[in-house]
Amino acid sequence: MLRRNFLKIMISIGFFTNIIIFKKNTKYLKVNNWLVKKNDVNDI
Amino acid sequence: MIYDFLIIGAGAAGLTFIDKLIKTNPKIKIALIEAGNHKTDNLKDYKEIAYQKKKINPVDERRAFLFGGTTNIWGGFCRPLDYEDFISRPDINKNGWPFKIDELDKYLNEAKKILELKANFDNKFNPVEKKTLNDFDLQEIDFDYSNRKIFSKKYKNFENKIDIFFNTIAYKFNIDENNNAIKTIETIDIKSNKKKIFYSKHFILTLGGLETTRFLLNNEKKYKKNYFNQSNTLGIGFNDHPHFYVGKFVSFKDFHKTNKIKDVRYFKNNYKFQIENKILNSSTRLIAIKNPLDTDYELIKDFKNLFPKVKNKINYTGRIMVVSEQFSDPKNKISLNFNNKDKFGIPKMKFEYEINTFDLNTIRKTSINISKWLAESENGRAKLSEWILNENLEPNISDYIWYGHHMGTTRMSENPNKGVVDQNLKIHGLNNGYIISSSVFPSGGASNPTFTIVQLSLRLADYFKNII
Repeated sequence: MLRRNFLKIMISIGFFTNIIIFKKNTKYLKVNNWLVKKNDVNDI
Repeated sequence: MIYDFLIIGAGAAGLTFIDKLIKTNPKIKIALIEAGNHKTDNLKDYKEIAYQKKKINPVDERRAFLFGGTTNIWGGFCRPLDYEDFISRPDINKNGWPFKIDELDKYLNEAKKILELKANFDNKFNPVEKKTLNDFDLQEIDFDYSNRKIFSKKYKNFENKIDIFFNTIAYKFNIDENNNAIKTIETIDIKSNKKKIFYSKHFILTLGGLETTRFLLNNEKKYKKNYFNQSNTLGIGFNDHPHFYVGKFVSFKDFHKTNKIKDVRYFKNNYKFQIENKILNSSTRLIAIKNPLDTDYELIKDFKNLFPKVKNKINYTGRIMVVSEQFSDPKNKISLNFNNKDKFGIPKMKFEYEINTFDLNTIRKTSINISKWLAESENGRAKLSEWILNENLEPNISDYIWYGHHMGTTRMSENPNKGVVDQNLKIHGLNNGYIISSSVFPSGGASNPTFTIVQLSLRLADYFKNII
């Protein structure tokens, strides 16, 4: 619970902006100018 | 001789208007002034001295001084404007039209008949794709194709019905300042240099989206009153339809077979998507290249190398084109250079034109949205130009195709302080001067303008049916 609250605070101050955007778009990735599904890419 | 109507310019607007007027009342006395003739495009001798060239110049080649106007050289693409094009959007500087789409829909079938179109222009959905299109706020749309020279052929016998004066350039109004009415118009014969004056009860400017504005700008300072430019918008807010090749795609199945006419499918973002993303209207073309000789094998190789996990067979490759509505940017404008005149003494035009961040934002978001849909529908995958994905980059000039849809410089508004013509296309400040041209469009949408010009011409002819 404490950890979740800490994350909420960090998100609210914009600390994790990039991760949030990434999480919103987990279905699609931009790879070398290709717009593909995450499943198209080998596990990193 | 005092004519009932004097029409200046024999393009789609002028010819449609005259045709309907004659059908309404065959006794009406009409004169038509045209800078070209049936055979010769006089623009060839005229344009080099009339315009300045720039790197991005939406002018020269897409015009013609010829009976039938630009439709002698056009591609014939037709589509009415969308519902949302008529609505005001202050967040993107879109004034909206002074009426709703219903007002032009009244002339939809009549315009289709003139342009010999079959499409019903209803947004349609392939049932298999309906869900994914909905998920991405996309609509599949229809364009239809009219014919080159359709107007010059259809109306070639007008000479038997009206007086036509070819090779004639109009350059000056004479105005009765007590009655705010145009009395005469002065013209010059291109071949003989002879001047001639025409008298008429009504004057209709149908010179096209550039020459109409040029004519008014040249006349603006000749009178004590400000008849044309009380709003200070004359020449301001020029817009075109920038066309960009934004990327390529590989297809996993033949998703173009739904379109039997050509290997192109057309899409647009719905109104909700436009609002949520603060973008203008736009349309997307997915152009299939099915001839194996033209297949982009480098693209296929690139895809297979990067994504070996994807085992789908690649059917064909293709290109993605996005056509954007343009932000009404006051910096985009036409003005006159009074120190640099053509051989008839008419000042040359000066252009200031650029594609701004709202236009680019529209093109970028539209490109990404269609690419996501391609992936989600499993129709294929898209590779976009780097400048689409990186907002810090300028667009590749080689991806850009200027289009020559000249709009917005004599805008329509009910408020004389915001536009040049009212909703009946009458010039604010004059009792008998009218404009039919894409220059009156308050916003240009993402459809080619000729269909709307034809609808406006029919509507104005209808308007006169009630007052003459």
